[in-house]
Amino acid sequence: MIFPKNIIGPKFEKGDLISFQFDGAELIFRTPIIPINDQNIDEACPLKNFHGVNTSDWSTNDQDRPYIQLSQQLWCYENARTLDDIAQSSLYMSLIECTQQDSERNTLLIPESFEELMLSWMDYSFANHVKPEDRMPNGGSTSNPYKLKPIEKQHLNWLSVQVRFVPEAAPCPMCIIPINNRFVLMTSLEIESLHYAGRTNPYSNELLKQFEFDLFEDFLSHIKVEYTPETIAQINLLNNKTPA
Amino acid sequence: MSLPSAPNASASYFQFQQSLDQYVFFSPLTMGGASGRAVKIHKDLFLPFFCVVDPNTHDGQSIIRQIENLRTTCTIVRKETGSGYRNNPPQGDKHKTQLGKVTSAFHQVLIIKNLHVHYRMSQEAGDKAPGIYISSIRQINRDAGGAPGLYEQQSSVRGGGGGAKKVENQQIDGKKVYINGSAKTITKAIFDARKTTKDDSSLLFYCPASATDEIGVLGKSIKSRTTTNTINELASVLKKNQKASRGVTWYVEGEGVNVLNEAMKQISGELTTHQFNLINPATNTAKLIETLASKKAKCEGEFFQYDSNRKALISIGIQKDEIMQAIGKLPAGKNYDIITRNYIVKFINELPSMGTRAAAQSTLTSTTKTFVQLIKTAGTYRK
Repeated sequence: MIFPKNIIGPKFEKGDLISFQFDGAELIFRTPIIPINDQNIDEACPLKNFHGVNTSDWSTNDQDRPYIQLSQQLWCYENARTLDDIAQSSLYMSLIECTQQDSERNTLLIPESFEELMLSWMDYSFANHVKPEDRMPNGGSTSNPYKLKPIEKQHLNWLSVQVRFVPEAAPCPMCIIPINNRFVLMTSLEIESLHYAGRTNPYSNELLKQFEFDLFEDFLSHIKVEYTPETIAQINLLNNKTPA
Repeated sequence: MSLPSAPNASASYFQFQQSLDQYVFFSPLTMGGASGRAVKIHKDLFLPFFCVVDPNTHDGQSIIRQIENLRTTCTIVRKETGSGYRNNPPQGDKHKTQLGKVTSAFHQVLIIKNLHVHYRMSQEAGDKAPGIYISSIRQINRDAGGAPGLYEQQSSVRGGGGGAKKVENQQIDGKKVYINGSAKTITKAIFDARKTTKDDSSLLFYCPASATDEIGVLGKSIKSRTTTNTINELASVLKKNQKASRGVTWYVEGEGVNVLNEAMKQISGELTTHQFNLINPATNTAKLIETLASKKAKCEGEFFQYDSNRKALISIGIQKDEIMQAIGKLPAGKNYDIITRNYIVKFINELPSMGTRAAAQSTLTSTTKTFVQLIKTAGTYRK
C-alpha cells in the first residue's frame, strides 16, 4: 500500500507473520513492526494453541462472553517532512467465544445464522451509539446502521461492519471472522488525529478517516484462515454445498 | 518543582557570551571541521534533555539526528557587536535590556517531535567558523484534544479497549481511579489504566498532554486554561468523594502526580478513606507524601513504584533524603505493611545512587565526551 501525502509509518506488508492454531482451523496474519517508543503498545497473546482451550479464566466482554486479545498494537504515523506524529493508530484482534448452545448448533459456520448472531451482538453493544444518519432514510427493515456487508471468502464469508465505539466518535471499520464453531475473531482499527499545542494537524480528519479505511482493507488482505479438510466438509454439509 | 529547569530561551546575547564556557559539543558528528558546522549545547540542559529524550527510542533517535543535522544549516550570520559601537564602549543597563530584546528575536527554533530546540548561530572566540549554540529546550507534547476529566472504560463486544465515556456525576466511591502521566490520547490512557490497576472496571482521570507538559519538567510558570481546568476538575472529584464510605484507591503515574499535587492545594479536611499509589512520580514527591499524610490519606502496601522512568529517576535522585524523611513520618504500618515499607525504603535508598550518578554526568566538563555520549552513559545507570 502506498501511503498518501507524505505519511510514513509501519506497513503491514513488511509485518511479522503470526499464527494461532484452533480445532479445525489455523489463523495467520501479519502484525506491523512498530518502532520502540514510550507511548507505543506492542503485545501479542503468548498462547498460540487454542485446541480444547479452557476459557474459564478469560476476561468477559459486555455480553459475558469470554474473550482474549490475540494482539493489540498502538503506534503513530508521522509526517515525512516534519517528522511530527500526526495520528495515533490502534489495532485490536479480539477472539470471542460464543455460547455452548451456538457452538453445538454450529451457528458460526452457517452464513445466515452467523450474520444474525453478529447483528444481535452489535445491537447489544452499539445500538445506543447509532445515529440517525447511520440508518437508511426510510428506516425500518431496510436500515443497516452498521453498514454490515459480507466479504466473500472461499469457505466462510467474513463480515465487514462500521461501529462507533463511543457515541461522539466517527464510525470505525471492523471485521468479523468465524474461526470455527466455537470462536469468532473481531478485528478493528482506529486512527486518532494528533495535535501539538498551538499547531493544527496539516492532515484533515477526512483524509485520516479515509486512510484508516484503506489501511484496514490492506490489513485484511494479510489475514488468512485455513481450515482442515474435515472442517471444510462440515461447512459444506451444513450449507448444502457440493464439495469442489 | 524539584526537577532542574532549562535555561531561559530569551537570554540576552550578553548572558550568552558570559556562559560560553558552559557549552559542550552535542555529539561526535557535530564537532565542526569536515562534518559541517559545530553544534554546541548548554551543559545545564543535560538533565532536562535526559528526562525528555531517550536515545533508545525511535523518537529519541529522530530528535538527536535532527539536532545533528543543524550542522548543515546555511543561515546568514548576524554580526553581534554588543553595544553597536565599533569600540564597544561601556553599556548601560537600560541599553543592555533594550538590546537584549532585540537579540532574543534572533533566536531560532527547531521543532522536532515533542521538543522545541532554541538555538542561535554565532562565531565566538575560539570558533574557526560560525557554529550552532543550543541555549534552551522546551517540551510540547501532542494529544488528540480529549477533555480533562473522569472517564469510565466502555466494554463492548470486542472486550476491553472499547472506548471511554465521561463520568458526569463524578462518583468514584469504592472504585480504583488511575491518573495518567503524559499520554497522547484517552485510548492510551485507558489502556494504561487497565494495565496498572489490573481491573477492567477502573476509572481514568484523564490529564491532557498540554496540562502535564505545563506543570512538568520543562514546564512554564503560566498555566493555560486547559491546565487550570484539569486541576480544578480533579479537585472537584476529590471534594465530592472526600467522605467516600467504601474508599477510593488512586493510582497516579508520572506527570499526573504534578496534577494531583496542585489539586491537593484546594482540598481542606481529611481524605481518610483514600489510598494513594505513586508510580514513577516526577514531582516533589516528598512534599506530596507529607501533604497526603497530613490529610490522613493512606499510603500503604506497595504505594511507591518505579520502573525505569527517566524523569522519576532524576526526581527521586535529587530529593532522596526528603522522600525518606516523609515516608518516615507516615503512620506506622501493620503486619505485611511493615515488610513492604522496609522494602520501599530500601528500594528508594538504592535507586538514587543511580539517579545521582546520572545527574553527576551534568557536572562533567570533559572535552573528550560529547553531550549525547554523556546522555547514553547516564542512561546505562538506569535500573
